[in-house]
Amino acid sequence: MRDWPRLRRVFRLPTTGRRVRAAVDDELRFHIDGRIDELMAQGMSRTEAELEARTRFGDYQRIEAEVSRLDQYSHRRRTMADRFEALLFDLRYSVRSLARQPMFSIIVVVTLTLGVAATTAIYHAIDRVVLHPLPYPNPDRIVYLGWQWRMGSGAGALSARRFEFWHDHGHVYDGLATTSAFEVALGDDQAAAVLHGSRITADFFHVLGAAPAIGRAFSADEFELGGPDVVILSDAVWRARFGAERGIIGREIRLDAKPYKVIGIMPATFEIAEQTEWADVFAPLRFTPTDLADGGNNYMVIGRLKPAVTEAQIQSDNDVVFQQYRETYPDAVRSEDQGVRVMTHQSLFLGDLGTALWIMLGATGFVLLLAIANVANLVLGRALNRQREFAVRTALGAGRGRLARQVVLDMIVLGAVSAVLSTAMGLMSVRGIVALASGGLLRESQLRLDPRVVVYTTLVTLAASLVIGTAVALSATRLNLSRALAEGGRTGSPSRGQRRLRGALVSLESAIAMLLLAGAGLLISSFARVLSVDPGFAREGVFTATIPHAPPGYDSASAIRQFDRRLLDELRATPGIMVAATTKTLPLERGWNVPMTVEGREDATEGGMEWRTVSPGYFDALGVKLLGGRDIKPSDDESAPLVVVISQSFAKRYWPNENPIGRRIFIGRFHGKPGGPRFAEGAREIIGIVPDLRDMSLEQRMPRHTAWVPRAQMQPAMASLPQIVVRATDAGVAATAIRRAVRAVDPRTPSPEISTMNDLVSRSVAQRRFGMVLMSIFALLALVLTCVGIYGVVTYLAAQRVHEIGIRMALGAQQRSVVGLVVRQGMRPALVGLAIGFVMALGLSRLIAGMLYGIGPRDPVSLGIVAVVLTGVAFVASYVPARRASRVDPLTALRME
Amino acid sequence: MPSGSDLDLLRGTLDLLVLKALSWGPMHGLATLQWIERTTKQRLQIEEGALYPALHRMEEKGWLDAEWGHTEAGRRAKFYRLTTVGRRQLTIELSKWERYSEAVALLIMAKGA
Repeated sequence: MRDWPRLRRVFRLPTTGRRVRAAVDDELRFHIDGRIDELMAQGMSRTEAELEARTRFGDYQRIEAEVSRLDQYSHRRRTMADRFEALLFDLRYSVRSLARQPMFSIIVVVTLTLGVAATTAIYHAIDRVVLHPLPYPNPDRIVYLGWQWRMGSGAGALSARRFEFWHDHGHVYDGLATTSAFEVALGDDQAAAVLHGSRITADFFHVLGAAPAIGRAFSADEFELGGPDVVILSDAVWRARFGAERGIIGREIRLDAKPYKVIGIMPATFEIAEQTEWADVFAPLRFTPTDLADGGNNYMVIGRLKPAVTEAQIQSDNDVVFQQYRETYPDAVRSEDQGVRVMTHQSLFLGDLGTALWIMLGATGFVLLLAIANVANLVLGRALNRQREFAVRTALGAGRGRLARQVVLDMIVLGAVSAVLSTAMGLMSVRGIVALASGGLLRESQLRLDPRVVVYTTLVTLAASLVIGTAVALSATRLNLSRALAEGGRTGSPSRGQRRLRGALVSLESAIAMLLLAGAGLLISSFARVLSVDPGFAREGVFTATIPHAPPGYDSASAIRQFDRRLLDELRATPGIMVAATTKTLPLERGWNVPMTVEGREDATEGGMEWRTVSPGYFDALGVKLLGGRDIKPSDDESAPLVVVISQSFAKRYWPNENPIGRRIFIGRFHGKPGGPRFAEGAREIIGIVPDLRDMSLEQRMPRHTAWVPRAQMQPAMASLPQIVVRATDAGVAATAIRRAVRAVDPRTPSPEISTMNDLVSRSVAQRRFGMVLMSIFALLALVLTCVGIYGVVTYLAAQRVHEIGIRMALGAQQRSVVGLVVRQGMRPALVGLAIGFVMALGLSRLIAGMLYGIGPRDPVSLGIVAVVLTGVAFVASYVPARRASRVDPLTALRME
Repeated sequence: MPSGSDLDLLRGTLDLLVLKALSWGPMHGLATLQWIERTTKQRLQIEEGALYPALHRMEEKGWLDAEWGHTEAGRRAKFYRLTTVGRRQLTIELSKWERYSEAVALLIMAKGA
């Protein structure tokens, strides 16, 4: 046997340094004593013999020290080698024994993997989205400016004039910038790919802490009106379209068939976290006098604070600037205006998403806990079934430590496999989260592979494995040797303590499942309620189309009017298209917000009225019935008197007790004063009233005052190519008809993007769906894990009682009563857990109150359904093994002992 | 080194002597030394203490195996035994020594001629 001499050595070798020295001393002394005896036998006196022996031996101290050092070194080396070899042996043993029980191993690995992968994915998302969302240097100094109307309520975008004023007068900012998105076609070919561009103000790159990697940023004169046409390209476009050629700097490229000089390339790492579209082209944003005079609030402002600026300083600076603004433009400030509100990334962009992610992390934490509980249960069961094996090994001399180590090793082997799998799965589910969040909640770049994820997953898995392994090892290796051997390998009935432990496990699992299911139930119910909200317009049979970007030549209102008319003629002539209309703003899309004054009543004025331009047939296409007056007609064209259709709440607000039809309003005027040339127009006569639509968001609580203007009469400065709404027999017909019609009107037009109205609705609830789907996935995981847990425990307990069941059946017990006996064993702790989970859910559901819609956090229907589902699942999980146990043949069961 | 020895022990030769001695059978340190003295008719004087580091080093290398046992007189002593590896090592050491002494002999003869 190969290991034999080494094992012998293990027993023989002294284990401590002192014993090593003692052995060396014995050996050397034996030598000297032997010599003395020999010399005395030759006739020397004892003293002479001793002296002579010592002389011949040499320096005793030195030799003893040298030999001892040698021995200690080799002793240590051997102990290490022995330990390592034993560890390898145990490891091989673990792998072999786990491979012999593939079902057990697979279930443990899958369970652990699911638990860990879920937390990994959510932790990763939180890390990138909440903890480190901004890819800029010193992100804590980045702020966003919004306009505040009333104390406490939300803030809106700024007008160009307000932006400039704060930019020029604010003292706490290192820079303030804003952007405006645009789209251009690369080259002269209009069908070519469209690039997304961003016009930026002078401070923009400075605020973001970025600079072109090649070339230069825009110079001051390039921001002047009428300055040169210059662009900076993104790294991606530079590589994809210009072959990463450095010579492009200083050369001209053609965008929308016009020449632009390329002056810089941004680094590959540059991204604008606040925009969901990648910007490929940057151009200077130059405000025209029209832009500056216009009161429309359409600019999001980003700023970088000077270092070490306090909240109080920001507030007092804003008060000062607001006062200056009020004095400079007394007509542009309303009584409810509060000035600028400075917001952090967290408060502006994350609000609900951040909370949602933290709640999801909590949920995954529970899923992980469930997974650990299940695995602990399985591993404990296996360890108890191995008591005979352990007993034999103990009898052969293995210590409790060695056995415990074996159990822990088993767990570590399984944990290592899970770590690999859950890393892979975590990364894949991160992709799933991106896909789920297609509403633009998360950017792909926020969820790229990160080495920290691998470390996190590995640590969590191994920690979980160690905890489980150690806990099981401690309880399973405390065995009574003689009893375990005498029982011939059967473990007998589990002790009361063990049975109670398993019951507690089932209770814990049911409680967690109840909690997560309650959360999912409330979110699903809210989601269903949001979807079933009546927005006031039809969803079925309505199709929309967006023209990605206008070919050149459509910069005059007359050209656009012409396009509209020909497009509608084409569409209306197509069979299968029942109604066709055009609009500037599709439902559930962000629209324009403009001031308004009622003619002759300068006090009856509004700062932010929703403004839309639509063609005749728009309300018909959306299935909206007029409440009074008439619809927009083709005859309401540029040469006809100006007209407008208003929403019901608008009518009630300004004409509570009279008929508004025939009254007139000034769009773009505030307290009767014109805001700017953009809306320089006369009064419009109200011709019709339509019901309030939830056309900004399904969850929109307050009706907004909205005015619809005929597209043929739209303000020239606001003219743009239309979006299309049709009512058609089916999506295929609509898509073909729209594409054909657009091509027929102008073949240079890029192919329109077609969506059904349901697509638009679905996109508008993306964030809600995100939360609901994630929570449901975790709740489902919890349900499955709990089911497996109950099943496992009941199966185990039933197997332990096979003997007893045999006796009962031999004595004439009915199969039904046996089933009942076993089922009760699983159901009792499950119901206890369910009750605990119910109480916990009542307490914790407040956390997701903000994510609910139309129901309270203690909605009895949702919670009730969830409790029933969970009870049913627990029953099935107990019934299946109970039924199997009751089918046991009494004779076999009795013979087994 | 005690004076008066006819030959100073060449470094590394001690290993060869010990392996050769133990090739006759297991022995404790003193017996190994006595065997060497007897066989060389006292011509080789060894610093006795130096024997032990050599023995332990060879044990560590796996050439020797050691075990505590009892002498005929009933005293506890540590016995060394040649392992298979040790036996192979003895052959190597012997052929090395032969080559060496042949070379020295050739040298001496050349000088004498």
